[in-house]
Amino acid sequence: MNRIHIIRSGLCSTVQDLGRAKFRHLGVPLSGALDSGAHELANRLVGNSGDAATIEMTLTGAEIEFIAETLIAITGAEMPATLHDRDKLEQPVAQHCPLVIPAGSRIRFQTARRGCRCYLAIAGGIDVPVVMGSRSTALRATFGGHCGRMLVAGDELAIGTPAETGRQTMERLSAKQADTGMPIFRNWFVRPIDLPHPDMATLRVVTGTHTSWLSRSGLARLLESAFRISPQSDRMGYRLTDHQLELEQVEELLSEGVIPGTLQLPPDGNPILLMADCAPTGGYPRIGHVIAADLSIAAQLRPGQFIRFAMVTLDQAQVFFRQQRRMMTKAMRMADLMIEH
Amino acid sequence: MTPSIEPLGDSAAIVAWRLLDDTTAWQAVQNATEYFDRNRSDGVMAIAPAFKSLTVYYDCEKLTWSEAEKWILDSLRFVPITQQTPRRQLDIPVCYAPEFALDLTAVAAAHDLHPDEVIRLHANANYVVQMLGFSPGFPYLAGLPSQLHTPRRASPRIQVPAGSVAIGGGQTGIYSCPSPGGWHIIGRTPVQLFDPQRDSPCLLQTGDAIRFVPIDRQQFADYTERT
Repeated sequence: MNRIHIIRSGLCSTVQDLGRAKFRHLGVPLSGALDSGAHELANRLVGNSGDAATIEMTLTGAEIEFIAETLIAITGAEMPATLHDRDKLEQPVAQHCPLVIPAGSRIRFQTARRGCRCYLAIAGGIDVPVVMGSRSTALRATFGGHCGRMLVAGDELAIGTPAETGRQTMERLSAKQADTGMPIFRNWFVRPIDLPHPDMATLRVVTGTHTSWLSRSGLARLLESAFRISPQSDRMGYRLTDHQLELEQVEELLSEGVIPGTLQLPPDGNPILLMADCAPTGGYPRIGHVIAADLSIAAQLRPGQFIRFAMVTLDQAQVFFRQQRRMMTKAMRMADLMIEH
Repeated sequence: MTPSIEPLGDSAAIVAWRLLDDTTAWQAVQNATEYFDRNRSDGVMAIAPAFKSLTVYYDCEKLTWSEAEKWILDSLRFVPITQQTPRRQLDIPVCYAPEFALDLTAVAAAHDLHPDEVIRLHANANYVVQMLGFSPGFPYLAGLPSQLHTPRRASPRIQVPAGSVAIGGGQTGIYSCPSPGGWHIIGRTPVQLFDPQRDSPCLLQTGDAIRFVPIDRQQFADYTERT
C-alpha cells in the first residue's frame, strides 16, 4: 500500500472529507473541509469521489515525502510549493491540475500568498479509519482524521487504492513525463471559484431569527462596516472585531441549532462567524447567516483581513447555491475532458 | 399548539415551541423529532432536537425553502401525540472528592450550605437528559434542585477534564470530552460518556432518566482500572 510521510507539519494541517452530517443530534460537529469546493475539485482531478479524504493545510503548508509514484492535485489557497526529487533538483509545483510525483521525492509547501486553506488530494484518498461516517478530524473532541489531531512531523499516512480513472490519468501523465524527461507535466488548470480579494471580501448573508433584535444603528453597522477577522479565529469560528453591535432586545436564550455560516452575537457585541467545527447548538442571538454559496470564500479568509456583509433574500441565496453547484459540475466535467485528452 | 418555523440560514430550519412550558415543549420536540426522522423525504438530511426546538437540515440543491417548509408543515400534521417518551433508567457513579470537585466549596458558599449538603441534594435528585449538545455526548440534565441553581462562572475555564459533573444555571451536566467550560465543577464520573469507536458512541440518549451515585476515591480508581 502507498504511503506518505509528513516531514514538516505546517501551521494546522488536518485530514478532512465532507464531514459528519448525520450526528449533530449527539452534539457532534459537522467538521470537514472548510472550502468544500476546493476539496471536491482536488479529488475530481485525481479520479477520487468527492468524499475521499484530503489534507487541508492552513496559511503555512507542510513538507511531504512520497514513497511511491503518486498522482496528486493541489487546490484552494495559492500556496507556493516546490518539488525536490532524489537528484536534489527543485522545481515549482503547479496547482489545479493532476500531477504525477516521482517516487522518493518531496513537496515543500510554503506560506500562502493568497487565500488561507490549501488542499492536497492524492489518488485513492488519505486512508485513515472512518469514524462515525467520516474521515474528518474532529479537533476539539480529538477523534477522526489521523489520531484525532493535527498532523505532526513524523506522521505516516496510508493512501487508498486509486480508482480506475485515477490509474489511467497516472499512466498517461507518467508516459508524457518519460517523453519530455521532465519530472512533472502540466499544461492546463481549472479553478471554478476565485479566491477572495486580499484587501476586502464581501460575504452575502440572509437574516437570522434575531436580526430584528439589533438596534437600528446595529443593523446599519452590520451591513456598512468593514470587520476585521481576529487572530483568535480557527476552524470553529472567526471572531470579528473593530465594530461592536448592540441589541435593542435582550433575552436569555435556550440553546438552539446553529450551522456553519451562522453569525452569533455574544454579549460583548463582537460577532462570531461559525465555521465547520462549531458545536451544533448555541445560545447566543443569531443575527444572520453567511449563505452556503459563500462558505468557500469564507474558508479562504485570513486573520487580519477585512470583510463586509451584504444582505440577500433566502430565495436569492438558494439560487446562488444552485448556480454555484452547476458551475462546479461544469468545471469538473471540463477537468474530466482535459484529463482524457 | 403550532410551532414557529424559521429558516436557519439557507440549508436548515428551526421548528420551535418557545411559548409552551418546558415539559410540554420538550415532549412536543421528542414526538416531532422521532416522526420527522422516520419519515425523511429526499433532500431532508438530518433532524436534531434541542430543548424547545428541533433543527431540520436539508440539501438546498434539492429543496427550496418553500419546499422544506411545506414538508415540515405536512409532517407536523401527522406527528402522533405521545404523552411520555419511554425512558431508560441509568445510574452514573460520581466521586465528589475535592481534587475533582473544583467548585464544590464555591457552590456551597453561594447557597450558604455545607458541601456535604450540596452533594446530598445533587445525588438524591432524579434527572432527565433533555438534549445532547455543546460537545459530543454532553447531556443537559433537567431536575436540579432549586437550592443548587447557580449562575455560570464569570470567566470560563480553558480546559475542563472529561467526566466532570457540573452545574450551570438551573441545569446540571457532564463534560463528555475535555473542553473549555463555564459551569461549576462539583465532581467527576469515571464513566466514559463519549467514545467514537463504540457502536453507539454516546452512553446517554435524550430522554434517559439519570441518578448520580456517590462513590469514593478508591471506587473511582477501581472503576478506571477496570475499563
